[in-house]
Amino acid sequence: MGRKLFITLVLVCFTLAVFSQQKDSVKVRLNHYTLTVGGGWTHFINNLEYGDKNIQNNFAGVSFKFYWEPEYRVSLGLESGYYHLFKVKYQAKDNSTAEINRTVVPLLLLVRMRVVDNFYLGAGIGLAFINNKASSGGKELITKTTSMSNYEVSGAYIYPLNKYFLVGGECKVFRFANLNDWMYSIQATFAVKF
Amino acid sequence: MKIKTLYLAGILLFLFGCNKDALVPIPSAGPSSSFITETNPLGKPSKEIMEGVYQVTSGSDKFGEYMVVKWNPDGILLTCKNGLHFIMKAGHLDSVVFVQGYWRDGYSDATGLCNMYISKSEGGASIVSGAGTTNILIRGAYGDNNNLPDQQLTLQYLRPISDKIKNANFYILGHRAGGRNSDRLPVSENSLAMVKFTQQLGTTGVEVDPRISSDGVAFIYHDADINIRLTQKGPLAGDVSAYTWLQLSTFVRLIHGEKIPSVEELLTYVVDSTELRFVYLDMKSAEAVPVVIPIQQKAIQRAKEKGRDLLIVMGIPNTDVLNALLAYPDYQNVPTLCELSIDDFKQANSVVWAPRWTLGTQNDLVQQVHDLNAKNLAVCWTIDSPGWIRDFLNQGHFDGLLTNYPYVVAYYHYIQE
Amino acid sequence: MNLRFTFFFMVMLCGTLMLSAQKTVPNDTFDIKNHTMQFPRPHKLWGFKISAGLSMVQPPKDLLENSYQAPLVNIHMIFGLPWNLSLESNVTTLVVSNQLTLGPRFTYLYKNFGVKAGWDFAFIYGQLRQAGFDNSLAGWASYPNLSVGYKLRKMSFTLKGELMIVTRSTSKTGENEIYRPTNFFNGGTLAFYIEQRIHKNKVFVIGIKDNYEKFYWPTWMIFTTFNRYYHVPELSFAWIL
Repeated sequence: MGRKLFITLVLVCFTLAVFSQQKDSVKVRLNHYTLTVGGGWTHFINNLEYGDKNIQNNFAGVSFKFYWEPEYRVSLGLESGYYHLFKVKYQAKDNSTAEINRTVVPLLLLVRMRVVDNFYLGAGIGLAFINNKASSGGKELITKTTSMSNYEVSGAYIYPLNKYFLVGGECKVFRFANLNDWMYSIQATFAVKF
Repeated sequence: MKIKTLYLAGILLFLFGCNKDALVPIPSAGPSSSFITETNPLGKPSKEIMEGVYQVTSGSDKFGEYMVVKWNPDGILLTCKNGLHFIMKAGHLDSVVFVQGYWRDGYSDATGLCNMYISKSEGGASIVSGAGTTNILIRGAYGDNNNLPDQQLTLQYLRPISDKIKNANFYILGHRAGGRNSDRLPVSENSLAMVKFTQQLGTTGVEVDPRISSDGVAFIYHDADINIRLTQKGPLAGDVSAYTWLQLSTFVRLIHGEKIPSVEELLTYVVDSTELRFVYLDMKSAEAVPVVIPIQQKAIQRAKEKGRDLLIVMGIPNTDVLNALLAYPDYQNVPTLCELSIDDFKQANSVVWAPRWTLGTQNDLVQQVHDLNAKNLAVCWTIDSPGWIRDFLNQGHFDGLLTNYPYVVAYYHYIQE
Repeated sequence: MNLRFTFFFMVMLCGTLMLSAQKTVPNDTFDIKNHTMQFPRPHKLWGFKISAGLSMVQPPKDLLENSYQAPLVNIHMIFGLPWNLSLESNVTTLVVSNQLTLGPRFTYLYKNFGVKAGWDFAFIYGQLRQAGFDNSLAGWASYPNLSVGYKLRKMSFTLKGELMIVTRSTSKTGENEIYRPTNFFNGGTLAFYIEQRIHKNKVFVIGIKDNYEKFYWPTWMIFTTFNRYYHVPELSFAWIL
């Protein structure tokens, strides 16, 4: 696991390096901030080894980001959001139906880098609050888990509409380590710059 | 642009690639490589002759100078001082005894195949006939991983296990039903499969971890939460005791695919299907105490009816469990193991005192426990380092050791004069 | 009331941030070789440089069964000496486990390429007296290390490898002292760092590191008998102050 993670991260860094060899288009930019809201499709990569009958793993998700964007390529930020990982339905022997849902709220520290005009690559580390809801026979059971060691890698295209507003699209992959949950998401984003 | 695409493809490949934690598989040279099933089983007198302390005359650089050979219900264990051990089966064809299996280093991932034999003139005939001999030479070879054995290993019989040790009422207790997941065993900790497997490692008793489900079923599971260390990845997560027994049975499988056992299933299995002599119910919740006691009593009764020499004790690891026990009617008649002070031991009318090993041998307190009642026992937990195991056996007066490496305890116990 | 206050606070915050953003960038003579800490380059004589950072670590399950995880806090310091020499020190802490390293470096810079070789001496101390543990550890180790780097004007890339030799360690479990073997080779680490200008002349460091070791020092106070190597990945962010 460690080696793969390491090589993955090396590849991400090399990618940053390769892309950064493009003509530096930075003129003079001011230090500013953006608030971004994103929404779109999420897909839980089904790695359940047991109890994966009738799984639904495509949902809509939202994300919220705050970035400090200094004058150069690198930006720092915070991200949160709400994602529905999966829903599993199960028919018990007595014909009753059980349903299990897992949702997650990440809280990540982000580093983002502009590689060429309007294209960005990013990585994030941080916490994830995982909720598991099991429902059967009209009863609901919610259990909560905090995952301490999680990461995200992302690629984004962001187009400035004017001085204050930006729209774009973002692809990102999450790993929530505690339960080895993997998810990717494609989102449309809308940002306000100030 | 192509290079960039390749980089991205590489990232995705590594991100989504299958990533299993390391396991140590049981080595095999192929489906037709084992001939032990073609041999005839050995009788009890033959097994008793084979047991003993052997000198390693070839292979001592790896396995040390001596090896202990000890039979168990599923085969024969050859164990060394450094955690290396052989899990073997044996049988005979005519007057030749064949011993086949694999070796494993309990402290690392090293493993390999092993094939050995005892020729007719080197003890085979005597063993098969059941007539005693002290001239046994076990010859053979061991290899690495799935490779055919090619490195010489020879064991020369030195002496039998001493009568003092044979007659001692000493318990080799396997942690978490006999072994931990982190030691990369082929079966899951706290499972019925582990209870069966651990006898091959030399255990004579097991420690297990009872909890209680939200609908009041006592089950065996170590951690407080459902996690991927203990279970195959499934849809449930969070506090394991928040779920009903039906939910746990339906949606949770242990890391090697076994079901979580209920306390009742596990005790019934121990009574009916093993030769284990000690079960230590290391209570993980005070709420489970009144639920587990009737199950414990039922299993004790079942063992009695079957003529089994089996001690089943409820562990008292903290004051919450102690208070729950003291609140139980007729608690004095519940066989318990107290991990707390001697005063608590007396208050609970426990039959076993079990301090943490890091407190030392505490021979004076062990003596106090023995003085209170000759049938009282003292065991300590959880001792894993070969040096400390040796010292505790040589210098301490405990009646048993709880360990993750039962073959190391077995070596240092059975080799004592 | 709360809503009004939050609205007022947000307006004030945005206004302040916008005003603070209206600064122009001065004439730019920046060269990252004067600002890095990982990229091999000669340091100003008697000059002092310091960075603060956080590392996210995923220790192996074998060592931390109940997944106690927390970020490592790291302070990295460099003190410039004559003849392309420098003195480097790292203080890394997980509260229950701490490491202090100190060691010399020799650096050679040729055009945009740099090489740095060094030898760190480390003191490790940890104690854990909760969650059923009663362990402490003190130990000494050596880290011979080599870094190679390449720089652009505002960005540098550094690959660093180091070996770990444990010269002495003693752990205490309850009342018992446990001596681990001394002078043993514990494995090594391989790390990759990107240092990049982030704001004014400040530099931000992104690092990834694979520790391939038998004993990973932050988890040392948990005494285990395992004799196998583990990969322990670290992802770190640091700010050169």
